[in-house]
Order: sequence, then structure tokens, then C-alpha cells
Amino acid sequence: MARPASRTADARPALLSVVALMLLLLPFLLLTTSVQKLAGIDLRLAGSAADLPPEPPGAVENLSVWVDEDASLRVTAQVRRSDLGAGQGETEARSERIVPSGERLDLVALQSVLRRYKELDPERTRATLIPADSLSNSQVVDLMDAMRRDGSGDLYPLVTLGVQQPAPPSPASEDTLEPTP
Amino acid sequence: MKRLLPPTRSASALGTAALAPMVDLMTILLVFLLKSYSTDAPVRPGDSAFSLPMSTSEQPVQSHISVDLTTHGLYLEGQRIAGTRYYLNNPDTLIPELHGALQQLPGEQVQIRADGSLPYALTRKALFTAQQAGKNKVTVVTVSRSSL
Repeated sequence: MARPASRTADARPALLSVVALMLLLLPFLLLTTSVQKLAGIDLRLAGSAADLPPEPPGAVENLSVWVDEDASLRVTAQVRRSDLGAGQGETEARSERIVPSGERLDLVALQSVLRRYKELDPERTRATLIPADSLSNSQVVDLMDAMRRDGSGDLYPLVTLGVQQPAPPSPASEDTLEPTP
Repeated sequence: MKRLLPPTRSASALGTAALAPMVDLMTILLVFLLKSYSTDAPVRPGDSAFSLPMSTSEQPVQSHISVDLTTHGLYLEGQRIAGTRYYLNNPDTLIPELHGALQQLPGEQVQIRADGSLPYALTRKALFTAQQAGKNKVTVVTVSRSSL
């Protein structure tokens, strides 16, 4: 025997309980939430290079980013030579200077240079940032963020801070990059 | 008392239709608030000029010994220990007051909360001092860019 067609169930009681729950949750979240969400950046403070854990051997060594007082950037690295005439373990010093766009640091150009080094040696995870004393803390944090990752993924997640005491090496052939528009 | 007119089916449907967008709106609000939810206590609430640098980092901050570098002074665990201007102009890398006070505190983890507008030179001195005091695990505290 066919059952009589039942009336459509009223959905309002179920919806009302959801609304009531959300009305309870929302004031709680609004009252307890903080405008500032804090985030930490762990720094490596080693007394000397020997105190840092060794990096796996690779094509790029001693990758450093120097920041001068005029906001120009200099990326220096020792790149292992791979041509036939090179001896085993022989490296060449490379240095690329990034001219600032106005008074601002050209972080996009820095990331493109670091990406090229990353493609040369994907296993490398550490780079050294050597900022000028006159930079602000915000600029240093921006630089560290730019060095850690770009739009394509991780670059050098472990950024070590260095001190700008010795003059940066200036090899005979230094590439200069124009600021990105 | 008996109602003269029973509720019609059309009124019931209208009520359900009005509730649905409200639930949608609240769900969106709830997800947004949960995503940006933070129970971090404000840093230096009494100092309106103090502002931490912004970062893309999402690493949560643990509570450790805090060193605050503001435009007015250097604070350890909220207690003022030195003036900022003096150490900005001083060529010495070590901050003796901070060094002595840090050595008295147990643990080797320190968090540095430096004003974003201050020169890096002062932060470098604070980092060096922390290192000399045996605090080798240092975290720089920033404000996440995902904040409200």
C-alpha cells in the first residue's frame, strides 16, 4: 500500500541552530582576536663560519648579499668551475651589483639573481645577508623575506646575518643589473 | 486563542530563503576570523609609536626572554635598561647593561622586538650582545602580513 506523500520538512529549525551557534562564536572571536598576528624569524648567530652546520658540497659556495648605504645590492658567490680546463674544486668569484630603483631596494632583481644561483645549486639552503648599519629594521626584514622565498618557491630559507666589516670582494668582471621597472 | 489565519506555505518558504544568505554571510565572517585569529598579546601597548616590521613569515612566536628596542630605550622583560640614542651613536658593539642582565637570566632563547624604523645598527649590537651572553637562539619578532 502506497504511503501518503509527506509534507516537505521545514528547514528553518536546523538553520536557526546554525545561526545561533555562529552568533555565539562571532562575538567570542571578535573579542578575543588581536589585530596583530606576530610571527618570528629565527636567526642563526654563529661565532664563526665553523660553528654553522656544513652545507652539502655543491656548485655555489659562500653566497652573500651585501647591502650598501645607498641601497645598492651586491650578490657575491664562489661558483665551482665546470669547464674542461678547470682543476678539481676550482671556483671562480662572481659578483653582481643591483642598482637601486630610486631609494628603494630592488628586491625583485635580487630574487631573480638568487633564483639563478638556486637553479645552479638547488640543494643549497643558506645564504648570508650583510646589511649596512644605516638600513632600517623593516628593510632588513624585507630583505630576509625576499631571500627566503619568491613567487616560484623557496630560495634560501636559512638566512645568516653577517657584519659589514671587510670590504666586499670586487672581482675584475662585475655584472651590473639595471633596476627593474 | 485560535489564530484566524494559519501561516501559509509561501511565508514559510520566504523565511527559509531569508535565513540562507545570513548563514552564508556568517560562514564567510567566521572563516575570515578563524584564519586571522590571534591571541598574541599586543607588544608594548603603552607605546603608540612602537611598530614592529612586517614579514611574510608565519612562524608562531614562543614566549622567551624579550628584548625590546624602541626609539626611546632598550628594555629587557619590560624593564628599561639603557637609552637608544646613546647606543646608536656609540661605536661599541657590546651593550654592557644588556649583557650583564641577560647573563643573569636562565635559558638560551631570546626574542628581539625591534621598532621597524630604528637603524639596523642597534639591532646588530643587541644580537651581538645576546650572543656574547650565551643566548644563541634568537628570534626576531615581526608582524605577519596576514594580520587583520
